[in-house]
Amino acid sequence: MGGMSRRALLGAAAFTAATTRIRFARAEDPIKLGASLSLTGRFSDSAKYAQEGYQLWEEQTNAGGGINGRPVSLSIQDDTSSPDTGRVLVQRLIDRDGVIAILGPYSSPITDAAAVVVERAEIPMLGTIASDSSIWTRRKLHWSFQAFPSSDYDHRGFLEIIKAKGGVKKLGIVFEQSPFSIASKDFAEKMARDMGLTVESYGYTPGAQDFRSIIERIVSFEAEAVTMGGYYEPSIALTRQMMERGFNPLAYHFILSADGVTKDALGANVEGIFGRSAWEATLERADSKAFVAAYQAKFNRLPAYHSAAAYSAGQVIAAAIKAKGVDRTAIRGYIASNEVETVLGTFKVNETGQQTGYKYVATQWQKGVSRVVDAKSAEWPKPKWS
Amino acid sequence: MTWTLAFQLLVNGLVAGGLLGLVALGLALIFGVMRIVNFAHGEFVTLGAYLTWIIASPLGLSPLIGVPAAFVFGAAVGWAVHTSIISRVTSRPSLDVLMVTYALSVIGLGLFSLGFGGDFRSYSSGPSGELRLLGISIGLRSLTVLVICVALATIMVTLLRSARIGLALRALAQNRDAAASSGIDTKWAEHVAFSVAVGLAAVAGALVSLIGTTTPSVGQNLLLDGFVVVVVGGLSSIPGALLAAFMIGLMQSVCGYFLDDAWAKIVTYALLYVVLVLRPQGLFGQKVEA
Repeated sequence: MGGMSRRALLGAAAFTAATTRIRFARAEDPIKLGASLSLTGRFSDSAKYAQEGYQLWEEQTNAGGGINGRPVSLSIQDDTSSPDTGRVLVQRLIDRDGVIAILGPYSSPITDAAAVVVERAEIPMLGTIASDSSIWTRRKLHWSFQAFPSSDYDHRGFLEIIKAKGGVKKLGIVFEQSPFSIASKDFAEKMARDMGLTVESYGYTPGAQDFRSIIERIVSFEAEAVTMGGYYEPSIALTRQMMERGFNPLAYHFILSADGVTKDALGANVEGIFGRSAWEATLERADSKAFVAAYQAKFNRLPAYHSAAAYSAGQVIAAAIKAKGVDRTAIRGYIASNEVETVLGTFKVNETGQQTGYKYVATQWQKGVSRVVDAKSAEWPKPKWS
Repeated sequence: MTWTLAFQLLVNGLVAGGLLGLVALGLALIFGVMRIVNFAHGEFVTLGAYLTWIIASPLGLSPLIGVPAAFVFGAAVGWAVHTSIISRVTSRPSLDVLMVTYALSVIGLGLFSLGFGGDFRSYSSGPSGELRLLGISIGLRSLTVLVICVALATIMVTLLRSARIGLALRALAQNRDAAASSGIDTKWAEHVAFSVAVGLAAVAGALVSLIGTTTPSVGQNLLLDGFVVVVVGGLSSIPGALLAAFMIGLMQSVCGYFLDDAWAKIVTYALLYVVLVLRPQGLFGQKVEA
């Protein structure tokens, strides 16, 4: 020390301070993730729950010290429920914002569009609310993974209850002319015919609101049970027009009926309507209950399954980054070959990237609450609409 | 096909046609009197739908109050829009006027999206139950829509035929200069025409909210079909627009039953093409010699 000049000492001190600052800057650099979500447009009523799920996950992750000591920064952009806009936004998130992974959009069409971009850019993406498995069977995807139960099984829970309860000989299936709805209709038709039911299916164009002609066909067919595999708004329109027509099926199911707003839209007539859910707030698992409590504390309402799906996507990405760091290829490899326990259940994908771990549960509105049901606990038949 | 089914399809078609008729009536009125294609007309439909939703849902009143409220509010908005914007550009080339109405449409859609978000709005209050007659069922909401549409259409046709303002509007539609020189206040007549048209559009929106759901684009969905109706019926023909509306409503109901709604649209627009080729003045319009 006595041999060091004052200048050398000052220089060493400055060098140490500079390198220390650099080390702190690297540790504090946030891990950048991106999401294109339908904050406006025809999907926004459901997508807002997904947004909240992402936000809660990001907040909790950062409150817990981030991932490997680094905070997470999740940029959520509005794709206005348009696949074209979603594609542009995902490209921008990758090119301009430098995200290392994409948390999926709401809906299969937008996920499908985003997949084109992430495959080209070689960025891992989780299809958070993408039930259409054909996205993964139509072409080989290496960077996109389904993080939601497959829509093939949309009607399965309802059909299993019909089989157990009996009394239904004819089933009417209403479906949207969209890949996810067509896939679930095809599966349901086969399952129903194998059960010995006579089935008729009625397709409508996306965005349709007038179902009167379809209802006349259902009435002519004398269906005892009806199942609707479309999005929320047309499902409500179909339901209300069936009530208007005075058509009261023995059992009625629409896949998104478990959403809380169904009760606002239909009032007391929601009683007895079946739905399906990837997750319900009433599940008894400890991690699920903790998620519900945190969500209620932040947003002052119960989460929908979209919220749980989004939160779970965050959990999967966090597990991958924790295990493999921020290298995209390593993250991709982890997601492709590992099971991750999440709020939604066990995340697991097959060799094509399709989800094989998550399952749907059947739900039914009983006494003003949407409950998970099976053949034993299901109310049967549906009360007549007033 | 049984008779009950045929009558049921007829009833469904009349309801759909009634709504189309209200929208087309306003479009025909504006085009007939002012020679303006109003791209913002759909947004006035949406205005009436949201107003009725506000009356029924946050305020908890009967949505039927929304019908007269939509007309009055819509007419007031129409008066303001015509006075402050439309009347200032009517002397410009028609493309300029078209762009102004298109701009109004985009602004309107944006405002609705900002104000109400993308979520659909719906309410469960209002007429409920159905009327059963000779095996035919008509929901009371649909019946309400049909009755109001027919009543308004009848009132409009009667006013145009015999009331002073109706005669003024018809004179203006036939020959603007001659109407002006015979002492008709053309500016005031145009204000009235635009206001009434917007009021009717808003009532259509109120009725749409009664039987469907309301989103920022609910009016736009009706607008394109409304244009088809006006062209098929005859651009300046009010009775023509009404008849074409019911005809197209019936056609869509039948096509929707025997084929599907995609075919219903295809057939509608194929009809538009056929009419434009074979009878460009519309089915009920008058041919204009060159």
